[in-house]
Amino acid sequence: MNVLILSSELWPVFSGGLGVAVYELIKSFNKVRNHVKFLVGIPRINWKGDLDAEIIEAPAKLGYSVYFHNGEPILDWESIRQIYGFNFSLFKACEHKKFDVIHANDWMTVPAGIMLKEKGVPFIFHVHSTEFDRTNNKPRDWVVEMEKMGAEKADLVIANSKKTKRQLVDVYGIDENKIKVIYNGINLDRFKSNPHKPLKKLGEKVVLFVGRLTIQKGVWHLLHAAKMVNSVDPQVKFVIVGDGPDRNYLIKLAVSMGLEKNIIFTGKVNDEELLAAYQSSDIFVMPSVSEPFGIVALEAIASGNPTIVSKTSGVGEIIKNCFKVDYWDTTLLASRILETLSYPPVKRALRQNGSREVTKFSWDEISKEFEKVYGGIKGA
Amino acid sequence: MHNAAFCAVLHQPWRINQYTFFDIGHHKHYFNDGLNKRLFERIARKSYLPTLKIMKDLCEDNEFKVNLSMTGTFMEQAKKYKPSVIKALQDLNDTGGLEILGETYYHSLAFLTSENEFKDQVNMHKKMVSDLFNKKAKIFRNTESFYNDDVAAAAEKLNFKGIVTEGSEKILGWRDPGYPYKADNTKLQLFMRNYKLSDDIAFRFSSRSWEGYPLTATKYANWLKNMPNPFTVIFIDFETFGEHHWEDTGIFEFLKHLPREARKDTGVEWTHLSNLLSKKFVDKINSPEFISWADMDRDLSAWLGNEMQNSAFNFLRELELPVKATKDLSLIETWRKLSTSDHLYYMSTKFAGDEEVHSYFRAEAYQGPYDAFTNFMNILQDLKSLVNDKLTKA
Repeated sequence: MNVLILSSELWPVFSGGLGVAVYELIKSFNKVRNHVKFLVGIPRINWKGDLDAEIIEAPAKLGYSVYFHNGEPILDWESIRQIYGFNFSLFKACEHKKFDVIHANDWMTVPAGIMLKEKGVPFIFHVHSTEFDRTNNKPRDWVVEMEKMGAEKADLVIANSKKTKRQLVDVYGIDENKIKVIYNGINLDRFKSNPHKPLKKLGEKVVLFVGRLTIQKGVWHLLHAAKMVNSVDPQVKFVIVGDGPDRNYLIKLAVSMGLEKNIIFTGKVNDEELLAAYQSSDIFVMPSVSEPFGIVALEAIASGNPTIVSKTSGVGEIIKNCFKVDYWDTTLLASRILETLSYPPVKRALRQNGSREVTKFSWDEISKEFEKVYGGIKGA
Repeated sequence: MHNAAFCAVLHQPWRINQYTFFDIGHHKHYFNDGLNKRLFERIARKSYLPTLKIMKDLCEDNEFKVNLSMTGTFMEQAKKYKPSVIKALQDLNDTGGLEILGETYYHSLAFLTSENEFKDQVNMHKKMVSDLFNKKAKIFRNTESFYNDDVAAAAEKLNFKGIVTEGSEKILGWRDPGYPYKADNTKLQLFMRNYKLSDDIAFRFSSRSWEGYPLTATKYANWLKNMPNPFTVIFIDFETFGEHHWEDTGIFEFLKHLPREARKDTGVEWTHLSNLLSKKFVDKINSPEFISWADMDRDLSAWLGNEMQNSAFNFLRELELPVKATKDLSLIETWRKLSTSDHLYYMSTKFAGDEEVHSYFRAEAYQGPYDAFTNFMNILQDLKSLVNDKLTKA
């Protein structure tokens, strides 16, 4: 069977969570289900990697400017032109290829997917996040329309959490019977608990955050919790990994709160540094206001971190072995941090039971689900 | 003729409030009165009151006999939130159809805390039974049927004549639960619960995937009539009626008809446990290890199965003497309310088939085992600071 994957990102080049998910899915098929062949349509990024797949680079460039400018989601004619240009060239590049299923990821490849569906091939639209998630509920209508159109035209919609599915049903009006929830997976070989904790030699306690610095990631709430934690235990350091439009604002806020000695903004880090960060921390927090899935939480748990997530996250639906708090409840978030540091039995229990639990989310388990989906939809 | 002892346990814990790390030292109120009230009222309406009414009617007609284990914390909540439940129990008692079992007042692991505490809690319970029902329990049932040889010996010292525990193969081996056994090295009769027949009602009654479904009174009565042994001890959670199985499953109809169906054609005689006390034992049973009636393991692992539970229990135990040294009755009462085994049960991290049962009981109070643990620890820390303040001032 041949599956055409359409994506605006592909790890390791120019990639957020979407590109990682697409890469790992194909990688897992290569490894354990190699009777499924992949064609992957992406923008021209001069991709170099180790996938056994036909990579089709469409002559178009997509940049960060498509999403945000100064922290506000933007949509100007230039970005519309870019998106349509990309989709049209993607269509042209794939038009004469042979494939049995189209699997388009997120809104940016929806037009190409719909055009290619005209060839009589079943079309799967896979939603990793919606415009509402990405923009803190200030959606651009045009993007919402694109998502709605993708979901309506699709033969099957895959949502990466029940939360995303609910949104598609309630906000986008999509028939719930055509939406299937398949959670994201995690590469367990990459994220492992490392008892040596290479960066942790100062004897300080480290609370880690990883994510884009935007309102929906809840860093504002974390800073307020940090203030409370430090009032009890000044030895606790907060490491904020990632970059984003709110960076300057958050740094200023941290300073104005008197937290400059306890908060470290690392900016964007590479893969190796990210692994080191996971292994150097005592607790991982994901206080997202809105989080369709939240793969970083799985990575942190797999790396041996006791983890606190907000209830409003996709991972919160599925992981039992973590703390769950309301993102706005900074007192409880601070309390959970102090409890984890103060009561070693809970730290050990979260660590042990959590790393056992995340093995359920290995990509090899997830790709089994996709194999069923591809097979089912091809036959239908 | 076959004898059947129908036993059920009535219990409610004093569930605790959300207590953060920042509340430690501020001595905020520990118990979640709102939640306790809401749950008690709901369960009284759905289960206690209708079930007790059915039982009373059956006992009045001399069709049925009931053995109940009711904890002190249950009775306190009934008094506070729904006194009509106490009245219903007293009405049932007036029919002569009720036998009350002895136990630890706080439904605790006091046996593992200290000998004194165990004795005190059992005696508090005795006093409660005597005050409210003018009765004296002859048969003892330790919290959640925790049992080993030492529990039997301790119960004998407290003048009980018999003791109930789980009919677990671990101590029965090939032996059948429905015979009179003697607890080794005591004069106590050991009653073994028939867990299969008990769980048929308690867990499987409304399970459509079970081959016994639907379970009718006639079907169950026939199972009892065909038992090859002298007696059967059925022991279940009282909330089986109306709360674990809702009214629409037909559970109340089952209860209404079972006693009569079973007695038909001189089949089964319903009995009080103390009427089964025998002088002739078929064998003696020893149990060096602890058993209980919970989970698939039927041991203490539901309460003391992981490091969090053990560390919380140890902390509680460490506080016993300091708390008692304050001689502050309200502090002692608070500490005892915290000794209720449910607090430890909520911290269980079992993931196999028992997870569903654990999360059912935890559902209204906690997200999961981890906050159950840290919340409880925060409260114990606060209690410790209260006690320290008292003792340094004194």
